[in-house]
Amino acid sequence: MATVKFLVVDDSLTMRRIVINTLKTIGYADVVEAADGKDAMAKLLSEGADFLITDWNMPEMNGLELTKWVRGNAQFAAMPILMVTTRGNKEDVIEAMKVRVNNYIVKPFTAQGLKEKIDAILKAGEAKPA
Amino acid sequence: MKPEELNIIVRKVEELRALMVFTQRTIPFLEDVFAFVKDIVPLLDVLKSSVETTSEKLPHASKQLDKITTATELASTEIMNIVDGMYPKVDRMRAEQDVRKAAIASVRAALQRLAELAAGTPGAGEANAICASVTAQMDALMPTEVAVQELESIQSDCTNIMIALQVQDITAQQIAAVNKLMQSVDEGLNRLLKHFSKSSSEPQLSRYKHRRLDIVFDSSAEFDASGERQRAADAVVEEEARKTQPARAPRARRKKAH
Repeated sequence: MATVKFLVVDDSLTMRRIVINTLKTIGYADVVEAADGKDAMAKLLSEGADFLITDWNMPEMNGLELTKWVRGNAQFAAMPILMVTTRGNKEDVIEAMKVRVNNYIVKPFTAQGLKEKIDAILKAGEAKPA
Repeated sequence: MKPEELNIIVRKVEELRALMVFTQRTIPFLEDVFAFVKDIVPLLDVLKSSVETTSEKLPHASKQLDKITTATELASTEIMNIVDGMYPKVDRMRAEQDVRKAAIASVRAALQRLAELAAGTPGAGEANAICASVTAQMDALMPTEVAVQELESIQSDCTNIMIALQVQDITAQQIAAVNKLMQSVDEGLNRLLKHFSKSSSEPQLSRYKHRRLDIVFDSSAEFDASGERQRAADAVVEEEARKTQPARAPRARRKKAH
């Protein structure tokens, strides 16, 4: 079992469960979850994580704002970030890349698709497992 | 009276005459206008009534949509609970298969050893026959490759069911977008009603203050299982990644050339 600790951020309980269960089926059991950006900030500060998977549209603090906060925080700046969202327009992807997410998944995703993106990011040496 | 003054009076009379002719021609038109207004007033009343009815129904319709979202969320949760429960069951079945395989292998080895020990003894033939028969029965109990594959297939189906439940999140966002649109229409209708009734009441937005309007939604959300949107996103990601790393690629190519 890989030792990468994931933080899954989504305001939809259904989506959080889907992402977490999919992570488990592809071999990642160490997962923390948060319901929005603010919650995620608190979880990062209190529990830490090696890899962030975040939705875009969320109340309180959205995924873009969360990404900007992570990139601007010395402690987490290098953390791999995978955006998983329904927003599939070209402009949206560009906007996400500008705030430096590592990769981008458009919902609905497949287990294989999620695995490939995570593997590619980890292979690029951007993850710092605990 | 001077001739100039007389001319002025004549001109004024002519102007008056022209005005009267114009008025005479205008009267039928004005009558039409009066008739039109007379006809339109009841229609406007009907329109007002219709707008009021529609405006009253919109919050209810919005609430119904909200209930759909809640119901699909509950259903998704229930399905996921069931699927979550299936994973350990499959794991247990797989573990039982492994235990059975190990036990059968052990019994087979024991039988083989018995047959070897019996060799050369008077009952060797019968012992061999018994060992062969029991071994065959043991083999029949051995989990087949098909059974192993089926268990894997069940687990894969569970994952696919769970993945398909993403439709709940996507439809929730679509419903939230429709709800927002309905709220905008209702606001417009309320402004229209304000003109009808000359009242100063503001649109009753509080009628929409139910939980689901708090969903932060993407109005372009769609359930596209073809993977087309992902491929388009991948292309943009690659393009943007190239833009942000302009110096790396040429260096890598130069190294390869050596």
